Amino acid sequence: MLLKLWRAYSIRRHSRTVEAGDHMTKSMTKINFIIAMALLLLTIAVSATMGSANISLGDFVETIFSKLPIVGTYFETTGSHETIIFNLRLPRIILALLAGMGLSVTGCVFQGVFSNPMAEPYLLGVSSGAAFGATLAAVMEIQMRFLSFTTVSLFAFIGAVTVMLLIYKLAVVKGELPVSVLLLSGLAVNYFLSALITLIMTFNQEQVESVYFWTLGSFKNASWDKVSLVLLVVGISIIYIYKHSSELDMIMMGDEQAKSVGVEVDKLKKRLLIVSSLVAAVIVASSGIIGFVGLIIPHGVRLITGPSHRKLMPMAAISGGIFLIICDTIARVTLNNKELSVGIITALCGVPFFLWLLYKHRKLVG
Amino acid sequence: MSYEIPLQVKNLSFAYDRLDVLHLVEGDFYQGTFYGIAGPNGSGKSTWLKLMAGLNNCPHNRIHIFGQDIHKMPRMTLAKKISFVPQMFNMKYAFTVEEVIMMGRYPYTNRMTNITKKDHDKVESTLLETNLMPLRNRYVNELSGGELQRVVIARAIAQDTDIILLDEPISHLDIHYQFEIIALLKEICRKQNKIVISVLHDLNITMNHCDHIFLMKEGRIIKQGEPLKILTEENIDEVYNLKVNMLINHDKKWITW
Repeated sequence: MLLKLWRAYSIRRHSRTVEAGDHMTKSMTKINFIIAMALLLLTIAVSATMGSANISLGDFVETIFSKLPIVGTYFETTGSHETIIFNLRLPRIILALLAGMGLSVTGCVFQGVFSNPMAEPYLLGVSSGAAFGATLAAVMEIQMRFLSFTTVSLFAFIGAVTVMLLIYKLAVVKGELPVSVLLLSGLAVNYFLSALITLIMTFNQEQVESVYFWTLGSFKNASWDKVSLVLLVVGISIIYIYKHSSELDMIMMGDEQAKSVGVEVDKLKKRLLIVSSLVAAVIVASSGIIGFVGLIIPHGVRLITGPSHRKLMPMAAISGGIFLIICDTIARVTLNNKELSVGIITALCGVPFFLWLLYKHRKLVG
Repeated sequence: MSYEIPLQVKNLSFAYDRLDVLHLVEGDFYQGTFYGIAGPNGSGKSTWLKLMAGLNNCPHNRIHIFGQDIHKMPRMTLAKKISFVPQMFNMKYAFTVEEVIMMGRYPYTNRMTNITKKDHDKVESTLLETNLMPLRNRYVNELSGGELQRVVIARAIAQDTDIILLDEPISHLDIHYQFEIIALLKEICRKQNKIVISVLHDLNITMNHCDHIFLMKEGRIIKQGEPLKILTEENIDEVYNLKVNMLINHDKKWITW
């Protein structure tokens, strides 16, 4: 539904800018951004009212305002609403928001750096590494905690980073990263790790279910601890990435072009890919492997904003956040007694979109 | 002495892995002059150009710009002195003409100050100079080959460098655009006192429009100098292994076979 809205909106915008000329585009960007922000706030509010406990939009607004300084004294709230909103629903919503932002922005980076529409944040093996780490942790039954991250999360993070560095080392030639070598080594490592995971699972069948559901992704175990750590990593990285948006534009035009206007292409690609993979690894460690967000959001948003990263990335961040909040809300309210995995919802929306994209661009890909 | 020569290439040899592509190439380049590099496919023309553009890793003490070795130069500094128009460009993304030309200002901006009025002014004047004003808001992936070539050259002009290098800028254009691009290059060369160095395949254009040419074969410069003196039947036979005839018409020479 969201995608349909986007497309309808982008077509309208397109016809309007053609009529009004370029002077519109700058203000259009601002208007797009304001609309997106408003939608985000609305999504957060609506999502916070949904769930087994009955909280109305009015209750939610009152609860939020009662926490604010000065105006707070004019609003009243009940303790149970406060607990549900601040301890259960908001951390979860904010974590979904951050994950959506992080995955979308890093998706933009991967697609820009490889100038390839099929690239996504898990391209350097973050997902298979994380799955392998999680499997090891589940089987070895070690109990560790770091903030609110469990052993599974920590092992997943270590696995993701290790595999990412391995694949990077395998593919890099004289400081350059050929996409085909990268994809092939990623694919091979992926197969190898899935085989290892299956092998380990064959001997530890009782853990299969928990690991399997972990890999599908969920924001169920969100907490403010987790949120603050993810916020720190995602926040700093997004600022770093955004500062390089014009360089990303130039890299998209081709390495030689970018180099000849003075961009240190190879160094910059390396830094951006490693920062982005770290973001993906932290998100995976906090909430499992949520696929396709990093692929579909940059594409959907590019239809509206055009390819320029300065316009694309802020919109992608907001849209990614909205998308994951909606997916997570669906995941937690659809069934009464059980939760669906977010991964299922994002994949159910993501795969058809991906196939449509492939169909549309099959000449470019083939 | 070397610092008097704007662009000097001395004893330049280069190999990809173990394959020699350039052998002891030399040349001095002066401002306000339009240089052509000609020679058969695989004679090392593009490699030489890319070495000067800093795209291939240039050996020590071989290429100097106003006496400075480009080997040690950071990319940003080099980009203020040399701009490069590549043979192939990837324009499948919907950037506008203006956005692409603004990319030429990158060496002058930094992440703190962003784009200044000076950058905007330079882009405006470049748009005027290259007749791209009517196309400024068009998307580059919707342009024709000739229009696109003009945009990429405009980006190089906006980069405001003393030296502009071009790799076969007219090879895939129709004669109207060939004329237009060559006229544009000659104009910026004269009016803005720039060094323009272009790899060209069309010997007639090379002969009638360049001020100085380098004729290359198998990684060596066979002859260099005034085009009319260099592009003779004997030299062309030596380099291209082809017997040609010279026609003289309206004080211009034409090569035919």
